[in-house]
Amino acid sequence: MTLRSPWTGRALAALMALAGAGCVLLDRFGSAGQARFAFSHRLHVGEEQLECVSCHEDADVSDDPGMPAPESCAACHGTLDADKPPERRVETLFAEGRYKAAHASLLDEEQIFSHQRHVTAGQECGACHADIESDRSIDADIGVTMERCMDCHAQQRVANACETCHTLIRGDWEPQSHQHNWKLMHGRIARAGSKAGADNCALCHQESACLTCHQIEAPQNHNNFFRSRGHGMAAMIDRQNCAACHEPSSCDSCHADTLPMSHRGAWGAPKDTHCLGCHFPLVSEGCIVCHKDTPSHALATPLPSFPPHNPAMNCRQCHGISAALPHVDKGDQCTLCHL
Amino acid sequence: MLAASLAACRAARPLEAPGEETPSELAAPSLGDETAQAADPDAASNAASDAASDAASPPQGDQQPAKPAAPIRGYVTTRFRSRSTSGADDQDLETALGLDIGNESTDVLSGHVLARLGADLDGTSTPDPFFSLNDTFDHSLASYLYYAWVDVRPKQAAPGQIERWRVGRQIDYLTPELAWFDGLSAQTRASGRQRLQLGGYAGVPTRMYETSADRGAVLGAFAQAEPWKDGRARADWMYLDDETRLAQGDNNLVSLALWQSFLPSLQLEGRYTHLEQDPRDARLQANWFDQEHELSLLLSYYELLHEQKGFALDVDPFLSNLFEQFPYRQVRLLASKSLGESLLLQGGADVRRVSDDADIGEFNRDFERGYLTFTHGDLLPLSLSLSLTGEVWNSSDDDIQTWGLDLSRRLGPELDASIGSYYSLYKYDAFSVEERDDVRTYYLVLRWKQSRVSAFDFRYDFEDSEIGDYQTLRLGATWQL
Repeated sequence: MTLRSPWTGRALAALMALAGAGCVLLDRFGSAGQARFAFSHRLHVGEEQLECVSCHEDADVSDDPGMPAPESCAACHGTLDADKPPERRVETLFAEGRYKAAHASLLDEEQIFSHQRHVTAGQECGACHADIESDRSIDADIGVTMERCMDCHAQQRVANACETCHTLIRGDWEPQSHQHNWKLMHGRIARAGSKAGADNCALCHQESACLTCHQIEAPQNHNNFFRSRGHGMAAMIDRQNCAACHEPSSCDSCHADTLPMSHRGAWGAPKDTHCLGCHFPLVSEGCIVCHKDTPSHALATPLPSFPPHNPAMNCRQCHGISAALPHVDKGDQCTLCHL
Repeated sequence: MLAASLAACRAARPLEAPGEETPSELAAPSLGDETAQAADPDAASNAASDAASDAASPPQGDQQPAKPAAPIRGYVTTRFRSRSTSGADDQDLETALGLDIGNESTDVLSGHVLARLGADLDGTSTPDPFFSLNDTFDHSLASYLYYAWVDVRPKQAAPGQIERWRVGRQIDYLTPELAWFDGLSAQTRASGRQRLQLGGYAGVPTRMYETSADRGAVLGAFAQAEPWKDGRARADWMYLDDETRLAQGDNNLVSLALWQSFLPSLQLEGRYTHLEQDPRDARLQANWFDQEHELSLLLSYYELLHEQKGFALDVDPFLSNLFEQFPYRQVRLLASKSLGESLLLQGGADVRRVSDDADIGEFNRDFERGYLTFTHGDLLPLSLSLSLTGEVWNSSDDDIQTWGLDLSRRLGPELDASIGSYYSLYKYDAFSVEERDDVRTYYLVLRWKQSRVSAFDFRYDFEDSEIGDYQTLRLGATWQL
């Protein structure tokens, strides 16, 4: 029985869809109308057709690309900006002589990269900085991702080993995130599929690495006691925990041959304590887990026809006068089975 | 949630001025490695980890041709297990084989096999106090093939083209219900700025303990993309055909999942699924992972929205055994915090409430669960690692409690030893009689990593309970290939 309206689910679904749509729209059009002043590769490369080295003068002769200095920009903008308000002049992009957004593409000191080496090897700037001619501003996307580097190295048959681009990081290097509570965290991070930081498992791990831990080895609490008794309790309380690994066939396969631990001792005849489980009171669902019907009830001796018996009679007037009946109900409910 | 998402998206928009991103975050995703799992107590896991680590081990030298990884890597692990109690004993031998063939990141062809072979050395008797799932086969030798797949990755697959075909027995953890099947799957390479990726799969479901040959079918498709900054969305459709249980029945399951990161530390995710004509469930989750302060928090809300009854086995939460599952709501909190170099606290709590009180029964329960683990990694003067843990479940007059203590010490660079004990109390009202089962388990564990290719482990457990005393001895060896 459920009183829950399906509208709750639909409302949650609609909420998630709205959240997603909102993010897409904001991501695409969020800055419209703000007229944020920023450096535009689209304007300089795409429209004005300037060469990369016009601004990045050292890109083909040095490891560093050579970020433009205020003086370089002033060569053109000295006159272009003359009539612009101060906040839209090119010098606002600089602080203390350094381009403010240079951090977006800076490499860590631990990383090895040479622009000169790549340019001399015949790589076009666009091979790494794809679609830069359409960028309206400098943002985090301007940095070349490691995935992109590795893709290109694989295609060019250049080593993709850690030491190709890193001075410190090696295959046996353990990220800081993998310490302490990583066991508790790693599943969530893996499922999120994040490409950021150390969360990209596939950088070092093959997919099969997950499977050994999560398939073959049973949890440590699955000891003998759990096998013989505790697991039934666990399944009653939270079946989803079991369903993480087990299907119903796991239960059926075992219990086809194995009685539950409770079915021992006085469970059966002559005490028949099991009757209480279902009938007194008639609330327990446990019995019908296995006993889908009750053919054993039909095996109870029917009420004798002679002398005439009927359900309204008090059985204990004749039965069990000198001693209590060996039944679990002491003869109080005979007609439940003896029909 | 919408307002929060929009606010977060706004906050995450690119800035021209120097922002929060550091150069290393922008340009250098950090590397992970398998050594994190080396702390795992399980030798097989270590072996698999080491094997994968080997696979990831790079060649030396700058701009040198890549040194090919070993074409076949993997491990074999064998365990002898002896169990005994008063008047009965049982001896088993188990062997697991895990193989990685080729390198999935560079080779056109690669594959993976994971299989297990179990032998009951002394047979079973009736009644056998050690009867378990492994004994449900007709023979004393039981084999399990968990995975056996071959990947084909076309060279130079352009964005939008299929980057991977996979054929064989395989599993996909990202589908709304676990897809474990014998069949074929394919996925495209991410394309465009939104990194749109499409995929599909079809096959026959894998069921380890079901003897029926007619297992129905599973097929599905998904699309995932990163349509906005630091966000990811995935939509799934699964078709499940179950000829055995539903006769001509089949089910369609669709889901929508969203992930959104805020700053490096906070991540929100949500998933909604719809089964046949009705909403099935929804989950909202927030993860806070502050690496600098070594603090992690998880807060999640889950709601089963509609009664689960009469669906294909793959989406069936034990209907045949535990009957209908009624709608409920559950809140979960997990927290983990390191205090200094050697102290770690982990704790959590769950609260579940069945949505309608009239639905509460033996298999649909309200419950509260809480647990706390304290670990001290360097207990002077013996350099012992001490771990204390407690867990309590409370559910409608039934409760389960576990209290444990573990002392471990590294005896050498390759040798670890642990000794410990844990106590469990099960209490429940059975036939109006309160029943308690007090179980005290003592154990001793030794692990010796003899070399890069071989490791040995020993474990002895003694269980003291009302049902009986159990002793378990386990001897294992693992070899890397």
